[in-house]
Amino acid sequence: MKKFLFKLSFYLVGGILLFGLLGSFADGNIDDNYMHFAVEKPHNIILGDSRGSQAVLPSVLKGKLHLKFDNFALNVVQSPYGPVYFEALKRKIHPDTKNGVFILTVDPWNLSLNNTIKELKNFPEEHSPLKNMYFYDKSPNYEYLLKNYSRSWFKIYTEREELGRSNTFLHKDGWLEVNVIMQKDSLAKRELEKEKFFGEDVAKTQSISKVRLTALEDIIKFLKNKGTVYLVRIPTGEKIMAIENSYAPDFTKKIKAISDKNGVRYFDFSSRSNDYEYTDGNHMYKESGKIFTSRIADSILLDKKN
Amino acid sequence: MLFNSIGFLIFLPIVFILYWFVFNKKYQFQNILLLVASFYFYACWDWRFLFLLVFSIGLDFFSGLKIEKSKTGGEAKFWLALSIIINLGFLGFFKYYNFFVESFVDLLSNVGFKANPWLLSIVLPVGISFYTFHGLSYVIDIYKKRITAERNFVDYSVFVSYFPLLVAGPIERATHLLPQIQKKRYFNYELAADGMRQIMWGLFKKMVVADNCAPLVNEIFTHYQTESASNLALGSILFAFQIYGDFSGYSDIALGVSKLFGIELLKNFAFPYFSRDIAEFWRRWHISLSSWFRDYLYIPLGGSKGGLMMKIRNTFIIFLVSGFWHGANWTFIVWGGLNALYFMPLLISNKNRQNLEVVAMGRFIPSLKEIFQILITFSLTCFAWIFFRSESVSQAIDYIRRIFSSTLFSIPHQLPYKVLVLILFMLIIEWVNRTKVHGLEIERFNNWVRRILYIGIIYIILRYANFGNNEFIYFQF
Repeated sequence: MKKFLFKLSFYLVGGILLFGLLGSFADGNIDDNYMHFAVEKPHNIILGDSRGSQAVLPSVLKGKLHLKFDNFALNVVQSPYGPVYFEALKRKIHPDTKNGVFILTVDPWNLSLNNTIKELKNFPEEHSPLKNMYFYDKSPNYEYLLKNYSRSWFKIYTEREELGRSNTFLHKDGWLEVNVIMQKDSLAKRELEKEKFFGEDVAKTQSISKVRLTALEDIIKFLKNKGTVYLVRIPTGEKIMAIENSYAPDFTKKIKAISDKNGVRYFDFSSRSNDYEYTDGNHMYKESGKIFTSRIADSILLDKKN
Repeated sequence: MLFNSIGFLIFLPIVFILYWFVFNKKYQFQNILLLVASFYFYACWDWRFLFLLVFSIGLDFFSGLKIEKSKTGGEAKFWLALSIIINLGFLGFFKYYNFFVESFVDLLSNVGFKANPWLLSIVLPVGISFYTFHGLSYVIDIYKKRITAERNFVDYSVFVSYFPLLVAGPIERATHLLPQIQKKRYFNYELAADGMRQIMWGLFKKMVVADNCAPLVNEIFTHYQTESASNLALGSILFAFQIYGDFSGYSDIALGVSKLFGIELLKNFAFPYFSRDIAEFWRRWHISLSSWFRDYLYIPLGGSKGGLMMKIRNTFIIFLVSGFWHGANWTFIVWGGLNALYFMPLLISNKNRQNLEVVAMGRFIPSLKEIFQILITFSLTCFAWIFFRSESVSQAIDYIRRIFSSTLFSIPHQLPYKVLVLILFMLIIEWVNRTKVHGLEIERFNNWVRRILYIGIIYIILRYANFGNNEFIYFQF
């Protein structure tokens, strides 16, 4: 037995050291989520889905509000409002947070659910890293890599940021920087795909979910005790906005009712579609994101003044 | 809990340490540990089905005792029938209910009747096909007086639920496994070291070969209508290696893990893609299932004693049942039937037992004839796998129809060189060790060769494996 364990230990220790070394190179290049779990716990936070993750830049907010923000928006499958996101938020946010500023980006999709899903265990975010992670502030976060990184660990090293950023690079502050060709043809193709996706697939199979609306309210109540909450609706391209308006015509009314009920401000930018550029009609282009974030900051400053 | 998961990586050393350092005073203690560990292992999938497993164990244990104590043949037959009906009843309900209902409704609609099927949303308990067959072989062996009924419930429970084999086999026999469970185990360095090698090789086949083939195969089979014929052919070849890497990889890990506990399980694969005819292939593929059907279906049906027609009938029956065992879909039945058809020329010409020895025995390079035979057998197998992999029989037929077109001899676009090199590496290693129990049985080489090979394989696993906890294909069966 001794001989067996002795020999085995060489391979095990070697393997662990190698994994440890490779994992230490993990950065915003490895996927769209890792950095959310590898930074210190924030006092000011941005929530939502992929629209929020790309359109709201913590660096711009910091410049204007002088507060360090963390963008904790993932995407509509992994971080729609719901019990999973709420529990993840509790683990993510700094426990001593006081007077924080919280930007909750909302749209019909991150408050919707497929009509066939009846039980919580079947919610799509049950498979999100938000569900299976315990440690949210470890760098390198081996828990994340072991549980949620399915590619070869050598790729962590060979595709590290130092050698060039990937097309979707997740910054340490949680902003997902997306670099795509904004040439007309490829843009039109992506827009068409998104319109088809929302108009023909999602809108026909989903509806606004009571569970998600309740979770949104629970999150607002939780965060209100720690600072000021703002609900924000991010604009999209006109066609997607038209799909949304037809899918959930009373969405604004619903969110307004929630904001009034909970005494928080709601900044609805949905009518400003044409002010910005979009990478696919749905997500804001990074340069537009900077302008848009600046407007959110202005609205917050104005609100604070009043 | 999957063999290729972090959970298992933690679970296995804990059980190993408890087994050899805490519960090692008596083998009975070790059996209790194995039972608890096995139930925990199973409950990690769905704890509710643990009750079904325990019920199945209890039923067969009790039936076995009753059969043995029966004073008349009729009484013994009653308990045997009860056990078989309940076991197959559960299997039929969980695995085949919707299939039977849908097939019946289709049949009715073909003769002009319309019916609204009452389909159930049934979750298939993992491993049910395997542990049901464990239990069945046990009670049948008692009835046939090949073995005596087990009196110790813990030992019997370990025999059925032993975690390395619980969810996807190999399908064990009481005569082979129970005696090992009922004696003192001593730690055997050679056995444990060989077990580790087998685990490593199994992980390589699963995580490197099968999991790298899987996305390519999925892509080709999903979009087969827009793929070139050569790509479709490539898809069927890659699936052949995917399912081999997946299932034989699983079996290697199961056998290797078991060796760490001093227990040897039945061999399930013997390098089937080096077979020279389809009969040899079936002696080397999923051996524990093939031998189960031989012993508990083919021979009771009369086997090969009743003349050629009887042999043909019985061969078709076991292949069709074997196909159906894999899943509730006509694709599996056609797959089984196709293999039976392949088998026929050998059976009729009485050449089904001509290739009993390992190919190119005593030589490294096979003869041209052997290479030709291997390629033909492999091609036939790949052709049959198309049915196994397709969603429906019509899809499989359409897929095959598209293979036989002018683009068959074009070079597949985006040839997956990396995957092909990895497959080639696997084939070379297995060819070198084709006379051995598993692909990495290399204790005959000197220390440095072995170490270089270990480090090389570990490197390949780390470099090319898919760490996404991909399930094993055979778990769905």
